[in-house]
Amino acid sequence: MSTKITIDPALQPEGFEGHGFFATRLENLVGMARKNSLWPLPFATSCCGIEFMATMGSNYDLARFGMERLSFSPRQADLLIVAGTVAKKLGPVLRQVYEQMAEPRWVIAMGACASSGGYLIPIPYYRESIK
Amino acid sequence: MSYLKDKGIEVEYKEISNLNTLNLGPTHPATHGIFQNVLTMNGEIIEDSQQTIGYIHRAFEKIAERRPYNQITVLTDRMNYCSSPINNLGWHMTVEKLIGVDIPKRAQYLRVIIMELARISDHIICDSVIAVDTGALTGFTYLFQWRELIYEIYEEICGARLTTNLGRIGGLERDFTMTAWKKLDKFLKGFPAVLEEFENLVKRNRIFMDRTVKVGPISGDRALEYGFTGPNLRAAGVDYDVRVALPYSSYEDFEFAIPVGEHGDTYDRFMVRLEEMKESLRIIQQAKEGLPEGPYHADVPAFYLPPKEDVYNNMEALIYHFKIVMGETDIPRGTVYHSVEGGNGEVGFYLISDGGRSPYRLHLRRPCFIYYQAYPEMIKGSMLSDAILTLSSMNVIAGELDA
Amino acid sequence: MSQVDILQTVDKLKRCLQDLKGLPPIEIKIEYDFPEITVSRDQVYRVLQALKENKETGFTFLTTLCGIHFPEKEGNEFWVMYQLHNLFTNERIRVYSSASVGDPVFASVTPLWAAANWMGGEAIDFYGLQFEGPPNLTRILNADEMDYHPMRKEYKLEDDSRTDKDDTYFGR
Repeated sequence: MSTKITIDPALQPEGFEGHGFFATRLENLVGMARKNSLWPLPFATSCCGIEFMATMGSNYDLARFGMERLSFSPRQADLLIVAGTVAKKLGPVLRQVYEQMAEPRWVIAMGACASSGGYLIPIPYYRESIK
Repeated sequence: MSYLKDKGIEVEYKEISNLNTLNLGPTHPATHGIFQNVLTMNGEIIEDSQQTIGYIHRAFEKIAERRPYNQITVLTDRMNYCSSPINNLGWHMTVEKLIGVDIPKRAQYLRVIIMELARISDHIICDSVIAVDTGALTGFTYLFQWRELIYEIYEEICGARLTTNLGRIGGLERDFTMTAWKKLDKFLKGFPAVLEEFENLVKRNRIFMDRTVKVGPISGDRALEYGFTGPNLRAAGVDYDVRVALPYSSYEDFEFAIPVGEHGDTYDRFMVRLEEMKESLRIIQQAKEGLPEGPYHADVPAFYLPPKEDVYNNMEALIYHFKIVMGETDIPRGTVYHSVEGGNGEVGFYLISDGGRSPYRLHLRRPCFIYYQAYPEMIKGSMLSDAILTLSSMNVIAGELDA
Repeated sequence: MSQVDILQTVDKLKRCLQDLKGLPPIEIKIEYDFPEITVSRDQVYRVLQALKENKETGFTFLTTLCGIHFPEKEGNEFWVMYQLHNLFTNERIRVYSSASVGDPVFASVTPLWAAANWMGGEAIDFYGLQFEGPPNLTRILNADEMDYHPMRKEYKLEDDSRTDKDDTYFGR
């Protein structure tokens, strides 16, 4: 009896499919694996950190995306989630965390403060830090 | 040693320092926020600690000197973001005190309901995080479902979840909708059972008690020296609560107890917060049952935005709308201080107005900032793992610490 | 607090201040629900100590401490506000003290209240005030490399380096 392995067509990389086999390039396969089990590093500084906790919580269930393994060490993380304000004093810390991460690495700037400065944009001091 | 001495060999002993330095933070996962502690460790015992704060200092006091009064609410949101409605309404009450507005009873009661919900949501975070740090993730998943329901109630009231910007100077922006009442009923019905379940999980749990009892204690006298307020002070045995001591927003109408601890340790802090959630539920129940009829905002057209239809059809309303939005309303000169009982203690607003469109000086009394300086004293002589628990039980919120 | 309670507090304050020798007369103002006194900076430590230790006043709790900058008050540019609280009777007062811009030195009240340490640190950080006595206070919130004190009124919140917003049409 042969078991049929089905891959979600939306996730399926390009390749050759036959009876009982599927061939594709290794990097595509690795990419698929990466996409479905990202290890995020929550760099939670302020309010958005609480929202990240809510995402982790039972209602929004981060495990649906294969992301429930939070990597608090930057060395094993794939994705850096910058959740909250990054002031000038914190800038070097964030850079150091980012540089410790292994390639390939991604960064999400969560919320207005981290992505554009938001309500803090009038402060020149703050603008220096996000540059 | 004596073996060498017997053989007549002279050995010179050198004092070797056993102390080593350990850097805890600024991005340590267990500190739940961005602050650095450089610990001097003797083995696993903490000898000393050097604190560095200010990693997310956002100069709120400076920004407030340029903002019109109604736009400062946004800044208070981001102070203690676990319970932002308390800060919002505390700020509104400060301005109301300055301009001398009496708020209708109904608005005061609605505010009490919102503030107590916020207190519950604050304590849920702190208590479930203490449980997580001792290894019990289950409580976190149970309680966070109900915290989401609180967020849904906020959404019904003001449209936002976390940074609520709730209320207006002079009352609330809208009355509670039917959906809000329904959700509140659901919360009042379902939450006590969940809280009890959580309590049964951890309250007499052997592991939990071993980890928390007599960990990070502080005496009542020392806590007062350090300016502790809120649950942390009450855990040390001092029954100071702003809601009772200096009642605001009709808190004198409600009957509730102030839970008080004895030793000021992590277990007491946990239990005080747990009991306070039950008292908050009682207050909400009373406020809901005794809710008076009437308007949900005071009649202060110069500060309270008129309804939209009036703005389109009525000249006066349009002028008021314009003046409020542009922040051109005259404010009396004066100095006021108003404090509310926040999630972590007395949140105070010291406001100097020179009659201009924005405050001349606004000083925010943030409880976290004041009591976090006692941390080195509390963890001295304890283990590293206990220091982590002490920190989470103090509920130091980085946004409130640095402002 | 009702008006009667405030007047009682004022009476207690008067009696407490009379007991202190060599103190010039101090005017007690009432601002909303707070009695306020202003004390010269070489006397402020003594007065605060008396207010704390006097049995009748019993202001044992330091609620907050902050700096204020009034650039137009020449000779008294920098002010420090101490807010005290009696936890038994729930009376509260404010004590002010001032210094000039050239010599903004105050006595540290950390020996009286340990909480004053960081509150003073904030004033140092924001206004460049100095507090004499133990412990040594330094900048705490802002970055160490910052060479100015941002809450002073001469530093505008928005400087000219911002280009994405034009305020000229809104009369600000």
